[in-house]
Amino acid sequence: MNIAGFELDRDWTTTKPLEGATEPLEFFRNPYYYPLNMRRMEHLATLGLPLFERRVLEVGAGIGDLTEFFLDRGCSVTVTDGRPDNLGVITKRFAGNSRVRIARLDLDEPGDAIPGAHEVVFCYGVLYHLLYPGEALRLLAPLAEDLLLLETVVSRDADDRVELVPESTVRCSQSLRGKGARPTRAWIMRELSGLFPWVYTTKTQPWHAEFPRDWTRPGPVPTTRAVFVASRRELSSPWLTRELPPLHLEPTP
Amino acid sequence: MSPATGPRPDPRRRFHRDEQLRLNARRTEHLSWLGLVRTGKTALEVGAGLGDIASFFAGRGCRTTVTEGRAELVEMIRAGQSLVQSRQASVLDLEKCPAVPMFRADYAVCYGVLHLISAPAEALAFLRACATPTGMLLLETPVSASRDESLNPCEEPTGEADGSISGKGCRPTRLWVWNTLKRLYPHVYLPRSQPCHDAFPLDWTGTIGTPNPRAVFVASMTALNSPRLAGELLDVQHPAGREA
Repeated sequence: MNIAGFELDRDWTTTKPLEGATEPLEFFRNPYYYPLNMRRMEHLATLGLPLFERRVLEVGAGIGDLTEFFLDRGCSVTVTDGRPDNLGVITKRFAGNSRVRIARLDLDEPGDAIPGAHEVVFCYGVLYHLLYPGEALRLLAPLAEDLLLLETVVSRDADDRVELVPESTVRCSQSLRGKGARPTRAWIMRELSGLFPWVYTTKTQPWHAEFPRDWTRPGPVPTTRAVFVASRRELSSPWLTRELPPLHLEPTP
Repeated sequence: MSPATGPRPDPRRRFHRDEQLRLNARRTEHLSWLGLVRTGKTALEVGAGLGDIASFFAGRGCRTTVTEGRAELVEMIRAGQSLVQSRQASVLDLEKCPAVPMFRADYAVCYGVLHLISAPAEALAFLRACATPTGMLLLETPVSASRDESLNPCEEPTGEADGSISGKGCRPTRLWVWNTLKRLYPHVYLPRSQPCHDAFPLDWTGTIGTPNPRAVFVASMTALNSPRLAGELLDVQHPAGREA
């Protein structure tokens, strides 16, 4: 499968197909993820949000490639994922780091393993891998004392709905149960508005092909993504909007 | 292959080890925070490795030329084995810069390279010659923490794909970089912020806790009116995204 110019189903450094591989590093060290991660975090860094020295709950962390964004800003992070093999990599990676706590959290079936509240809940690249995205947002909202940062694949459609689509279960980066959600932006805004007093999307988008800047026209790749910020207090950032923009600004402040 | 050392490791594993991915992420978040790069411009990166930093410019719609001293890496870029999908990749050894530049770019990008060469003043002069009339240089380099104006030549390892080619490097002081850029460009700036990474000190007045402190400089052919840039060599900076 080719996404944004990169072969997602192949290890970049060998020709061995990834399908059926069990090592999480093989998946997350695929070149598809490098620019996606860099462009997403560059975008988050420009939003003017209070992200220094916070207590952060990261859900669906994969192998923790985004965790260091917060650690390098003096945050403490509870890093969670639903897959034990991913947690194994995270545990090795952050061994000895006193600001990292690691826990298993399956957002579709959390059971009793629900973390305590944190100032910031960070949910990037997760929601669309879930069977029950609405339930997950209702689980996470009370855990966010200040902010919920949400980035997800969305349906490009303008109406208010969520659909399920098949997903691979063998990839460590994807669904645990073989299906994932494709909510529309309107669905996410409405769901979050029932959970937080202040809900925003971003006036800019990450500089990546999967983040459309014009929602009125077909894009260059089938996957489309968007970023949302839900808050307990009004935020003054000029890069946030409470509307769903059909067009985004050029993503340079 | 050397019988003594075994097969040479794939350069991609070197460029994409965890600590390098982390460093690159903090660098490009800082670049993004500075807000200097506009879409549709031209960019030239020297010593680009496999183009991880260049992908910042290419991703923003800049026509991006990638140069690198190692032909092996240029071939990998041309073959699509890098993050920047650029056929505009060329071999350029910064120890042997051509007298007449073969590139013109709005953004000359020199990240993590200057310390790996023995004659950085000549390389900076070459980059200045590549600037368009409104062009700028974005420079990031390990420096010496001392406060004098000195180049501090040193030996550099050559064994890795991201190491020095000649084996000769340097650790210029910030003042050396600043004054050298002042001689080349009409406008020189220090970002008020540093990347959020412990290799980038925030206070240059006392003991620097990191062995290879890094700094970022911006030099421009035109005046830049940005509150995120200072026209002086600041001693105290703040983390990008956190106002002082």
